[in-house]
Amino acid sequence: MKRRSAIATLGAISLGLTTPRLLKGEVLQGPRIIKKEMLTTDILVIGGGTAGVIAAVQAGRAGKKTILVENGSMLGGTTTTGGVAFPGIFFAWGKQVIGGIGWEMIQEAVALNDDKLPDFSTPHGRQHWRHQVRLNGPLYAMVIEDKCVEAGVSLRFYETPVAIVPHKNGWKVTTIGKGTQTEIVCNQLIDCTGNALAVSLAGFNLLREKETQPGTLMFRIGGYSMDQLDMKRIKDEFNAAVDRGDLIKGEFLNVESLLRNAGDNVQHIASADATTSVSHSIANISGRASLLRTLKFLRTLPGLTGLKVLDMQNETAVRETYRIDSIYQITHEDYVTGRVFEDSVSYSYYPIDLHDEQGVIPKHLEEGRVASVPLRSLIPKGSRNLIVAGRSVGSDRLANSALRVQASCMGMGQAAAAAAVLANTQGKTPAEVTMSDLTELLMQHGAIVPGG
Amino acid sequence: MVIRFLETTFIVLLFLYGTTSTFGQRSQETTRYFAPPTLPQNVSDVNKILIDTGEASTPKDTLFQLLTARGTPISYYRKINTEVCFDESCRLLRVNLYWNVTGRYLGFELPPAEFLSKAEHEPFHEQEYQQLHTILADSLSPIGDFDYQKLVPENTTPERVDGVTRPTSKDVLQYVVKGAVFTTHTMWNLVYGQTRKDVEHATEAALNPRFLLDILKSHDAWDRYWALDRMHMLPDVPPQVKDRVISFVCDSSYNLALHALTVLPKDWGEDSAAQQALWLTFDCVLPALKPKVMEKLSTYEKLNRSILLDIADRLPTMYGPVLNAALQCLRKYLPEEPEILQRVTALLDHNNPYIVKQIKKFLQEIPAND
Repeated sequence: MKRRSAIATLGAISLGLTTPRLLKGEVLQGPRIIKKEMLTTDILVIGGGTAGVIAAVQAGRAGKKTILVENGSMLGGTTTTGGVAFPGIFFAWGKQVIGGIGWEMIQEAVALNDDKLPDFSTPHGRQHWRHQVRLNGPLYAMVIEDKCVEAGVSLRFYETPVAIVPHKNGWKVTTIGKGTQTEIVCNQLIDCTGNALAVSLAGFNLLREKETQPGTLMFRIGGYSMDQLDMKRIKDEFNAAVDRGDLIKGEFLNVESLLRNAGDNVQHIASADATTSVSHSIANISGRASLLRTLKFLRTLPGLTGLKVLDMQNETAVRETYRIDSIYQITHEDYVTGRVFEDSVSYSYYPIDLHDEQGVIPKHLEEGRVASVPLRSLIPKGSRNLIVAGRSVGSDRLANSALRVQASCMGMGQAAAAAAVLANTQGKTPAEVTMSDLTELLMQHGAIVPGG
Repeated sequence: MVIRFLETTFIVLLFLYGTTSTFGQRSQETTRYFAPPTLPQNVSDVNKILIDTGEASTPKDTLFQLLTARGTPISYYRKINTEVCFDESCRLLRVNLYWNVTGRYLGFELPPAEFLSKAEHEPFHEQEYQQLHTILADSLSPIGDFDYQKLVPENTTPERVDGVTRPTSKDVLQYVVKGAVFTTHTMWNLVYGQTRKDVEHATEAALNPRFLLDILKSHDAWDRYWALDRMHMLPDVPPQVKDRVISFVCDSSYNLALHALTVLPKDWGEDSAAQQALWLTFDCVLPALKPKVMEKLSTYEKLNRSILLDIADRLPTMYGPVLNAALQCLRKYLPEEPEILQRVTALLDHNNPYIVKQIKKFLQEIPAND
């Protein structure tokens, strides 16, 4: 007994030696263990950007259990995190062509900011930006988050899928996030990543151009007066710096435009790709380095010595990465002729808008033409219970340069979710739902369906 | 008196050409380009209004107000005599500019034997007059954003004005008549400058229900907006005006429909017929504006019971923001209206769990009837 007692005492002493003395209120926390969780849902939306938010709200409002996984800290994607808070064109030739949940949110954000809508009845001519709605980005982020919560959507920030495998009549998606690893079992999967990441993880082919459109880091500058600038000299100095290699050719095509617009959508970052952490890190670093380099240079010029960065987005916004190999690929010809398909689920209206190293010269559609998006272009070839929305839509590069714009992505988001909802309800895959059912559901929720 | 009679007769004759469609006319004597007017141009009289132009060359000028036999304004014009100057060289611009009663550009005419010219005094061609007319009709033209001094590239050899052998800034070119950049800029700014406000003020002073109704009937969206924004200036709004305004809610122009809904006065809710007319728009209004119709009905002090019952009957077909707006519209009546409450409560059996959740939450917030 004595020996036992002595050992116990020794144990107590050694514990006392290794346990830190806790101050009042402190709790000793052991090493963190990744929390593993299994969730089930009707519909899983991957990507809380322009299209994903609309898809999630549509699914939630249609009564489906819905989870939305977003790898950032805020919803809205390009519109909010990317800072491109002018979401494209909702009206064409005097009529609204994209409505529904996306427009509802735009309207609400506009009203809350006391903004005024452009006059959509006046043709925009070659200045399509006349019909752009300018949003307060942070406000829009709050509005859409509130709508998701109100629709019962379960939001999971800071998570990204790492594995997607078929599971019973649907998918099992493994996500990792901050201190979490989650298996989400769903019936319908909607890929709104903008890069077709979920489609790729699920084992389907993607398409990509050898050279993709550049990305843009949005920012605002100030601290100078345009009236005081010797623009000719600034242009000459700027061009000389490019020729010397002090500035990178093509990053800012027009220094006057950069200064006149005080930043905004004026920068081009070649090959910007948001698909992986690595590629997006490169795009972000390139975008910020470009701005810093240009800022330092401009501050050496007369009239610009007080130039300051007033605001800058957290990440470089990306225009083009991967598109799905879909049942039907929308062609440039389809787009510019305004082809309406038997399975058109939404409209898209924007000039062909391909950015390259020369800048961009938008090619406007002929009067009365409005393109449309067939359901088949949202579905990867050979897939079941899987659909995409957003710029990954199956299309050729020129058609995609117009389809990628946010308003069109919103229309696609609602349509993709409605197809997923019906597929879930009817025990089908999205390609099998009837257009009459799909049109009815979309129109009940305010969407505009070609031929509807 | 004789002079006034002759002047009026001249104006009347001028307008007998007719202005029912966009047209241009050039002859030996006059060059004139006009857009479709807000109101028929049956001119019987002319009134002269002294205005402060805010322009350096002619700080005071006369605005001619053209009137019907009833004395109602139908359009306005100014005889412009100004110099277009650049690089210390000037040319005289003589032109009569016309405005509609709403301040919208109507047209221009040149005095007899006068013509506009470009570089090297080359006269305008027909299509250049038409182009100028189109530019002047565009109230949103980017030409309005350019400073006079920025119309040509910096540090180019100074040449003569408009004479503009000097190159026009590339950004500006697409918005001006080539070779007449300063003339285009000057005329556009005259059309959309202080005189437009003077025109609007003069029309506002003459507003009455019949006059406003005539403007509301204009083919032009700008005119209709203008009239909607001035409804509040009438002490009483007759039923014909109310009908016209409410009919805009179903217009295919989103902006016009939204604007009509926005400016509909709350006190029209006291008019049972106006209430009913607004409710009927629910079936023809653009889908995105259906919630706005409900929201407007919600602002009325007391809704007709038949409308309340109609809304309640249609609840099962509503979703999203329309359903929300409809519930809010019914909210204050529910404690007193068991029949309507019953129809709301029936939605607890809806097959959409999201709607069931919405209804539960809504019902919890309804105040109990004491």
